[in-house]
Amino acid sequence: MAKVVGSFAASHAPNIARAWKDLREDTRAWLTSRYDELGRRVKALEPDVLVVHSNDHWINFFLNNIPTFSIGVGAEHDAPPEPFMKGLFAQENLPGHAGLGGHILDYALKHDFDPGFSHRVAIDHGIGIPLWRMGFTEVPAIVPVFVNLVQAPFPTPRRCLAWGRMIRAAVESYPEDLRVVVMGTGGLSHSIGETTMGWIDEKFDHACIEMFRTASDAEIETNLEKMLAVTGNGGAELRSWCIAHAVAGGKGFDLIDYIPMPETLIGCGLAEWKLAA
Amino acid sequence: MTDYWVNKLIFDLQGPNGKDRWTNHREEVIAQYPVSPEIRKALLEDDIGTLLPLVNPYLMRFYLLVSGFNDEESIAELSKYQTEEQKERMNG
Repeated sequence: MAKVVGSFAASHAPNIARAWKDLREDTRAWLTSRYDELGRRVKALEPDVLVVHSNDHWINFFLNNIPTFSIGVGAEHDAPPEPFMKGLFAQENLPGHAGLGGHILDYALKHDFDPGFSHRVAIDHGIGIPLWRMGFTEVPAIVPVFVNLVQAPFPTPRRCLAWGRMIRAAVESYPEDLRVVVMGTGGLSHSIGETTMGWIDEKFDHACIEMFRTASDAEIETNLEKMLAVTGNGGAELRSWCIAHAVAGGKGFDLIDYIPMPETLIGCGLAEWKLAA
Repeated sequence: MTDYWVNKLIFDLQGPNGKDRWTNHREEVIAQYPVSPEIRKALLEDDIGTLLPLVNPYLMRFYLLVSGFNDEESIAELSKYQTEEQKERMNG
């Protein structure tokens, strides 16, 4: 049977790639060492498949069709199409895992979720940046899961926690022996294309970090909803962290590091949830 | 209120030669979309204040980039439209 062997979250600001050469040396050093550490931890788990949750940034979906959750069920996906992401991966296209993707889709539909699905997606910077910075020689198979976090209305934190629990159960009911790492990408606070653009809400970020360390799911459901209403729009991506949190059973949060990073316009954070053996 | 066609116009600028098309052939690009005269004027004049409530923020971010605003300029332009409540919130 497949097994979830790790759950992680990491920021995915486009400026990490777009502005890489222009970032201050200490910023590049911070990003390099922290994403290397993330990569070291993920690779140590020897994953066969990565199930990566992120929002689509107007690459795969538009206003005429926005699924709240959508699963990439194809055997292959397009590499990131954004100009600033070109050439960052050795592989021309990125491998999917049709078997596990299809299984998660079936499982979701049988357990009161109704996600969209796609047999080929473009892996945008939301998934691409953490994968790139983790430094895979060859990116493992990916099941990309897009969560709508760019055009309101969004799924509630409660629903994202439930989705995370469903993902764990879905993976662990897949008959093939696979080692699966789940990730949620995005956050922490940022404000993009709105009047408060550039605002990094450190108070919100520290509250989220503390919440993942100590809060119950019920407290996260209630408190995060309120917190998101009064921070920048990019905070919505904490829902992906909720998914990673729920995959881990709401326990074991281990912050790799956090720093407010104005050059990339985000509160930059990376975390692992240590899974019980 | 989200305006479908102005968002579609910006979304499509993400395609090949988007920056060149927007920089050098703006009127022709706009003519391909059934936007209102007010929006057409705002697009021609980079009237961000008019566009802001109509455009998804992530597409607005891209629109500012493709219109030649760097990050600092984007932040400065958008901050003109902050409310007092937002200013207070940002200052803790």
